[in-house]
Amino acid sequence: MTPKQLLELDKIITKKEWTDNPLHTSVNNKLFKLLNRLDNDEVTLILELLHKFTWISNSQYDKKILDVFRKIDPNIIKSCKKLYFFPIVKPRDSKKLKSGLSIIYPIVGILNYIEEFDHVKTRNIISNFQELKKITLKEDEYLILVDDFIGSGKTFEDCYNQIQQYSIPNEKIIICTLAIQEDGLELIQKHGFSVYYSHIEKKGISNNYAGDEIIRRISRMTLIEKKLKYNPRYSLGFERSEGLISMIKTPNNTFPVFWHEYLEGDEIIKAPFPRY
Amino acid sequence: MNEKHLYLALLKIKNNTNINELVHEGLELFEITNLLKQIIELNYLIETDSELILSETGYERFRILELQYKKTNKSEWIKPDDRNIIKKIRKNDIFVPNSKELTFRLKKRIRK
Repeated sequence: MTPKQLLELDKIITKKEWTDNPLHTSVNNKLFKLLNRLDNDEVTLILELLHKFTWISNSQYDKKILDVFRKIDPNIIKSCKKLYFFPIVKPRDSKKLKSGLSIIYPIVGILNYIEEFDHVKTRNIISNFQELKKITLKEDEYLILVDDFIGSGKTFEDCYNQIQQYSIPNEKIIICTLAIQEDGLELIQKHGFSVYYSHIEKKGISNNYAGDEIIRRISRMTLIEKKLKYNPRYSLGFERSEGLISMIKTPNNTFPVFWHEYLEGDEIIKAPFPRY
Repeated sequence: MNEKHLYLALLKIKNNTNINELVHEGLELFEITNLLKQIIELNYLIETDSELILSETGYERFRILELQYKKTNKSEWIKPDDRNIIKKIRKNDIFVPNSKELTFRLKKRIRK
């Protein structure tokens, strides 16, 4: 990394106000360590991507949740008496603690402060498919499917395919997520659902550049992945999502260079925005 | 401000090269960043969109520091990498490195 690149990194961190986050020291140091492993052209690419990178920290969740729920169609809220919440999970992950379930609790807490929801019973959290199967929604009741991040939309599809087998009509389902990728949004909208979100993500390289510029950057990124010996399953992010986002836990859709651990000699080094 | 660190930073700016030598000096990210910011405040460099260039005063300071800190003795700036030293082998011996120590991956071959 050259002095110019180091000053660039400092400018990005300042511009994005990451220094306000109590976790920023760890992120900065790990970014520095990572960039020191790369050659100058590779550092240039990572800095370009960092300009577009979004870090939604724990303290920003309240604001994002408010933003999402204020976007819900007012006619639905007016006609609604009771909301059920269910996390977007694959049936086989139903018993695991996934981000979808953990975010429902703050949502229910925050909804108590949104006056438009004062008349709505919101304390109905369903945590597994067996419970969900038993639910029959009345005219003034809705099911909200929740996650903090929707990437390719594959998890949603698996979840929805299971729910389709129950007696819950599609028009009674609302999807809420703090952040979503364009591919995931398109896929869910194809099923005819309304999706409410606070932040939308493009593909980090493919949707931001054109022609040879894409090929050059993608091949440089894959070379970094090989050099740092990442699991090839996550090349360019899970399902090649090219994500540039981190939340309380970084989604695996994000480019692995930001979250995948790597080796330095025999030592395992954590990435700037680790998942584990 | 440590003069050796200042010299190294000015050298890296002048040649637009890697800051690794400052890292090897034991400086952390924030220390190197602060050093560069101090150099900007001292008007030792000109920052353009594409590059950093030493200003006239920056270059003068660099020349003065260079007299003291430039490594002219080859043994000072070329250090043996101890990690790669192996025992001396006989003329007809063949050295096969431990595959775990390679910096690249070997493809696994399936025996038929």
